[in-house]
Amino acid sequence: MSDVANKPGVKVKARAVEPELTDEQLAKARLYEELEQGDDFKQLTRARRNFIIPAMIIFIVYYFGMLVLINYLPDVMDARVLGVNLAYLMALSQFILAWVIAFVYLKVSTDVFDKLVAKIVAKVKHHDDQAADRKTAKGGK
Amino acid sequence: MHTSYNQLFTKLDTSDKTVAIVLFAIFVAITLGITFWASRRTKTTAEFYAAGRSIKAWQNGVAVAGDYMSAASFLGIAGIIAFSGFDGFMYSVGWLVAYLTVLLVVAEPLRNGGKYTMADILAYRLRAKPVRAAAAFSTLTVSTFYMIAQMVGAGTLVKLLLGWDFELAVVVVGILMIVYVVFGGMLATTWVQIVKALLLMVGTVILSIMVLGQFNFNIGTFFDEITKVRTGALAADAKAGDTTVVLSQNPGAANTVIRIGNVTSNPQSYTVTKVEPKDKTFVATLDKPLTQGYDKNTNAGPNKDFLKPGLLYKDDPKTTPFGKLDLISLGLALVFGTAGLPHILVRFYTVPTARAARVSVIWAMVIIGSFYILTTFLGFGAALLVTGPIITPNGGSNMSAPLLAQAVGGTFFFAIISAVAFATILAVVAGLTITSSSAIAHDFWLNIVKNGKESENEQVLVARITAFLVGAVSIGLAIFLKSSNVAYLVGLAFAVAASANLPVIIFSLFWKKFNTTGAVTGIVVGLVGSIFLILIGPNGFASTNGAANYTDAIFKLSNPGIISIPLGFLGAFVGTFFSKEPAAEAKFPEMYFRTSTGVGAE
Repeated sequence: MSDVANKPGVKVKARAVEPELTDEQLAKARLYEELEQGDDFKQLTRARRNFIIPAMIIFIVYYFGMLVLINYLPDVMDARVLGVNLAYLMALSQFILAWVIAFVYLKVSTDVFDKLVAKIVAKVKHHDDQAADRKTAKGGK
Repeated sequence: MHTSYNQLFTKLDTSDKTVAIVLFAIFVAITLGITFWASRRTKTTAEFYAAGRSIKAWQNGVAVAGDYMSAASFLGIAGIIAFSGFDGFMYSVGWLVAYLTVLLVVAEPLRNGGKYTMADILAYRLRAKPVRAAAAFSTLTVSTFYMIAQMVGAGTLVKLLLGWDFELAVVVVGILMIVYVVFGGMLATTWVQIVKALLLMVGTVILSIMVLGQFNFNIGTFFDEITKVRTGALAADAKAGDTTVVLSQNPGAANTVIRIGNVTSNPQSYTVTKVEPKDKTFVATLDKPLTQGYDKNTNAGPNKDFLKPGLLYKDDPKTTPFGKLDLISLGLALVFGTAGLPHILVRFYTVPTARAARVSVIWAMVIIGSFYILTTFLGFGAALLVTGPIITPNGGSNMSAPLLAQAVGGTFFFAIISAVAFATILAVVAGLTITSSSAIAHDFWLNIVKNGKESENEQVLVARITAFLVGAVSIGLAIFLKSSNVAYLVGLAFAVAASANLPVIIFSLFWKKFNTTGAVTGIVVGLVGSIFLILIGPNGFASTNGAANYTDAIFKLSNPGIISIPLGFLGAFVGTFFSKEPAAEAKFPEMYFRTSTGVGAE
């Protein structure tokens, strides 16, 4: 399979590899690529990315930030606050932050993601139904 | 009220033994009833591996919690905090925030794209045979380390509690888990995990309340005492008027101030003027006579601030030269390992939709988070009310939580908590058994040996047989490896999961060009890398008593994650460029559409 790809001057991307795929594979890939070009799907991908990437960064920075502070500023972290120390309070706040992110995610995914998914699914189903209708209509004649 | 610790013993007397056995028998009877009920609803492969996708979101959430809160959580964390203070609490924090990776990145796409195993998600668009073989191997590795840790824990606990032989305890645990899984499949496993999670939560809440009760329910006093933990105990009875006391630990230089007396009995301070070692104990001369008498095993010694970070993870040229880096490395394995644990991932196949998978993670996070916050009371409570020098000869750090139960509630409560710990282990090993059996039966046997062609009935039969074999092999391994260190094995499981599994799961879900070569090299590099680093690390060179050996170790970190996780990602990334796989790329849009929307999901 790498014969084509290894030939000098042949563009490895796209064209050169496509002949190895069956028509069916290509058609399927195109169908889904087209579906993913739809506005709703693009919006879904964007909305998910805009939530998940910042959320991951926030919790990772906050968690490893705590570990770094504990490691390199142990005395500051041992300062008494509210009857305990800063380190323990910060550890507790990790639980709170994790729960907050989880519940915000639940809310956003219900209000935004799931609605977009429902729209996309309805459209796909509509297409399928139409295709099925055409088939039965043809068969009926 | 509990000034006397003379009754601390490692085996229960007959009546309390009966209590423990009766409680345990009730748990077994209930779970066998569940198994019988489940067995009549377990006929197809979807029913055997995924409980017919009939589990409700909240039920799965509780079951995930039951699957996750293992012996390492309940017995292990309590022990680490009891011995090393605040640093041990880092496990609790890491293991909860880890669920954000599961929630945000893995759970929903996995539910939409897969069927029964972790390998399904890779095999969706990559060449099935090589990736299934690699993923099945890695699943078995992670699950086996985890399983041995649980079974060794169970064996030790029962041996201490009831005086049974280690081997007998392991065989009993093994037979029960085999029965649950072989007959009841995932449905029985799920409900065993739910029952266990509830028992563990109730037990932990009661134990925490009883610990706080020792401090008159004043959280301020509790935390204040944590900054003044006595680091030793009296090694012999002392009478009022004595001017010398026998201590279990060296109080250090002369003029050290020591406190004598348990937390609840108004401990008194004395200054040590002279210390003489005598038969592993230390005779300390005090500046003034004792105002009252004390029993042997009363807390005594200089104060140590257990709330201060760095008691365990510190840079010490003699012992742990890179202790601080080790803490970061541990954090990485905890946070990224959970999302690569096969026995957790397969739980998301048991719910009907991606939305249910999402809601179940949130349920799990609430339960697991509450439990881990309560480890504050279990761990620090054991440090204050039992203390390390008394825990060590009574079964070691893993016995901290049960011994704490005894200290605050007597032997009856000790029996209850021990039965809960045993139930905890049983539920986890059942989850591991079904996960391993699906990796063998579904990935290896059906899709590699049989090319995916086998009737439903035969598939279920093969799954039941492999579950039996997995259980039998685990019993053998646990007996063979009975002296292994439990925390070390669980750490290994998390390191392998984070290094070998997570990179390929993420790449296969989100990177179009990712291919079979990349998946195989990613798994192999992550797996071999993490195991190799552990073998040449402080735990690989551990002495016969299981203590990590930093002096002889070639690799000085006990947690390999900081090296092995990037290695796993790098292996998967570089491997991808060694071949072209148009079919895998062409199938990406289809998979991406399905994982994003659930259209076409099983």
